Amino acid sequence: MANAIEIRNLKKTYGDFTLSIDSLAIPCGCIMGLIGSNGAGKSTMIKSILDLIKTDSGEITIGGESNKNPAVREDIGVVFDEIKFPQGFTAADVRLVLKGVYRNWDDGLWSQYVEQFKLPLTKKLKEFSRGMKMKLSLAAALAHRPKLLVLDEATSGIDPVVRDEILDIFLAFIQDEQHTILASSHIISDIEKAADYVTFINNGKIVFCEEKDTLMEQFRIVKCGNEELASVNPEDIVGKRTNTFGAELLMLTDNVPEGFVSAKAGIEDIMLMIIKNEGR
Amino acid sequence: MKGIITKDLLGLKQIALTMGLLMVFYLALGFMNMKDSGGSMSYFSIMALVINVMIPLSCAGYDEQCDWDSFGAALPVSRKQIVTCRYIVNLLVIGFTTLVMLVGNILFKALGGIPSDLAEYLFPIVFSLLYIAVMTPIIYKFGVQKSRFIVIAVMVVPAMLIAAFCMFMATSRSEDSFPFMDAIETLSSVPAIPAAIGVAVIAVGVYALSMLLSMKIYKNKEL
Repeated sequence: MANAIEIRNLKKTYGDFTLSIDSLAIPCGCIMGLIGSNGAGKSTMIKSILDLIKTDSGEITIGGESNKNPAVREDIGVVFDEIKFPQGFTAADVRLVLKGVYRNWDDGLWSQYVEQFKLPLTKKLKEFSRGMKMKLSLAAALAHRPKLLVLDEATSGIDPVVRDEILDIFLAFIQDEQHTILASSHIISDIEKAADYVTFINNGKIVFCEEKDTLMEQFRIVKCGNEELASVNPEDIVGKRTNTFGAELLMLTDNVPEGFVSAKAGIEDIMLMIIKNEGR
Repeated sequence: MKGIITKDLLGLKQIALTMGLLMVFYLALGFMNMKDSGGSMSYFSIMALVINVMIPLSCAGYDEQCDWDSFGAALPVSRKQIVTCRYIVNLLVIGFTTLVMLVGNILFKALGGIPSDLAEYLFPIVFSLLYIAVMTPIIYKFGVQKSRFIVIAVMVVPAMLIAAFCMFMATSRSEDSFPFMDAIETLSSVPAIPAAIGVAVIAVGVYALSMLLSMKIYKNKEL
């Protein structure tokens, strides 16, 4: 089976920022979480995948087809951080537009989501709460039965209850092994909860792309005092957070010195400590 | 493509009432002096032109406000199709105002008024096509906000040049020294219908060229 997304030798430069991805493959049937700080290149990568920007070089395929072919977008559902319909529109208007765009639009599925999300059909979008707008975006993205769901900061600014509801929808969507989700998010807990794989982008480059469980087994947070810190080989330290009593070190599990107290590293710890380390 | 056209037409719901009232008002204005001078559709003709050129600006403005373009480009339609849809919507609006004018004229005639001549029909159509043809590629290139000023400059400068030309011609005529007077007189002697067809064909050609230019601009646009 072809990968859901494949990126090869991608380059895109904006002034002094360059997104550079030599190779990335997102397999079908998984949730890929895309993490990184603001301006790291997450949105540029998503825009490149969706062919919204002109890349300087490289090739991107979606389900084995070039992303430049508009027909491949029949199988993609997209949710941005904001709903991109005029504020005077209603949910019924959104349906009318998308029904005229997607060949596979399923009115029954749309109605099911509208009912499940308790979305009013005649209320204008400007009167919707942020959570409701996101639910509408999600219903609009799913009602044409896409195989790939691309989410760019879709859960940001939403309360935990709605976020949890949305995550449940993602998990239900991914039950079909042909379905794939690529989700960029600042909310690492969402990625930790739902993602199978994690891609970390920093300064336009992929730092790692790993299976989430492997990643979390790979790293440990080591807490040590100043004296113990002096005994650690600096080359084994992936990231460091110092305080008055000592330091917290991010280390590969295999490199943790014997007798040191260590704990499982969360994705947020891994991301923050690598960014700090690279910044130094 | 149907969905993209639907999106623009649904967006116009927001200004439909205002536009409708304006159309009714300017139609009624034409009927008001019917007893004295047989009425006039020229008020409506000018209003039709204003509506025809305002609507593409409104559509582009709504799109810009909600950043529709980045969502639209992620749909299974090509950028060429997106541009084509906008040009079709413009034609639908021109068609609608022309239809209202036609109905107004039928009423006019039935009530004993003097209906529009060909020039009055063609004026809003031709000028709308030309104005939209100039404006739309500029909007695609620079966005609605910047385009307002650029379009004013693009339209006002030629208008001032034409005005200056007319003034020059008026003074030259009296002295019979204007070098192109013969050519202008030949042009003005062309029968009305062939001249009208010629102008309409030119306007349609310019509109088509504008669409090709917009497609090229939009194809390379970063969204």
